[in-house]
Amino acid sequence: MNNIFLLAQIAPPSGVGESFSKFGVNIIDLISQGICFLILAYVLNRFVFKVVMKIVDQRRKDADEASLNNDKIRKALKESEEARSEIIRKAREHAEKLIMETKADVDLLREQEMIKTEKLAVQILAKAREESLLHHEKLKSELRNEIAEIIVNLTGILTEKNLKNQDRERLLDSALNAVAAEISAGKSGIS
Amino acid sequence: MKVKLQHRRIARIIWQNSFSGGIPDFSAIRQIIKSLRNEKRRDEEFILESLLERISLYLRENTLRISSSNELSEERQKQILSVIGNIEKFTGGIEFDKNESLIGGLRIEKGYDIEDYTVARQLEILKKTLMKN
Repeated sequence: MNNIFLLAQIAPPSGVGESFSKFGVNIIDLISQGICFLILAYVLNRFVFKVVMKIVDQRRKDADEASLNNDKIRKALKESEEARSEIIRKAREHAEKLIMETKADVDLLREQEMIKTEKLAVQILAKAREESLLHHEKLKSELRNEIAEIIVNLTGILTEKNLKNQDRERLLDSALNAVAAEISAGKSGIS
Repeated sequence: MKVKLQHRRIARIIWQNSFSGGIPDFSAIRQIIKSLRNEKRRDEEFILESLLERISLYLRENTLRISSSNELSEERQKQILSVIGNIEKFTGGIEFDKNESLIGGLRIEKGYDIEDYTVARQLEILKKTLMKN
């Protein structure tokens, strides 16, 4: 302030003042203008520039913090992504392992079932063969019985037709002789 | 109601009392049955049933049955009986039976004792042999 007043009190050198006047410059106005400028600069510096700078600093700080946070988040995201990938990889490995084990189990089971089925088939075949043989034997036996029955029936019919009274009497004699022999031998329970 | 032990016992007593000289006296049996009917017992039917079983068994065991395919002449019958001999012991009687299915020969039966010399029997044996082989 003192400097401003001092500058106002200083009388301009006559040579300079004259040259200024020649150019149309009023030295006093110039000084007052300068003083006004300085006052304005001081006021602006004091109340506007500092506040603005403070706000700008605050904003910059916020931006830095945000950037820092952003980095942190990005890092965390990356980590979680990696963890997720790891989990997926592990899960895939586990699933593949399970699939392999299941396939192995299925193969084993299939093999066992095949063996069982083969055994069963062999048993069924053997049983069928045995049954077939039995059936064959049964048929043979039935056939034999039927043939025997036919032969006997035919023989009976033919004998009956061809037997004459003499033959019948002879048969009676023969039977009586046999009975007498049995009785005399004491084998018969009749007498 | 069915035949009980008690009914069998009564039938046995009647049966034993009807014997005279080792042979059942059928007229005595008839008399006993008549008197039993007169008594009008409730279990009369079961006693008679039991008695009938005994008589049937006795007749079966003591009857001589001679079967042949053709009618036997008296001469032939006598011949057969003479071969068998001791005919008095057949207290159930002697029956001559004609059975054409025997084809030929003779079959003598007394109770469970059978002497079978018929063609039918021979054929039966033949049939069994054929079936076996």
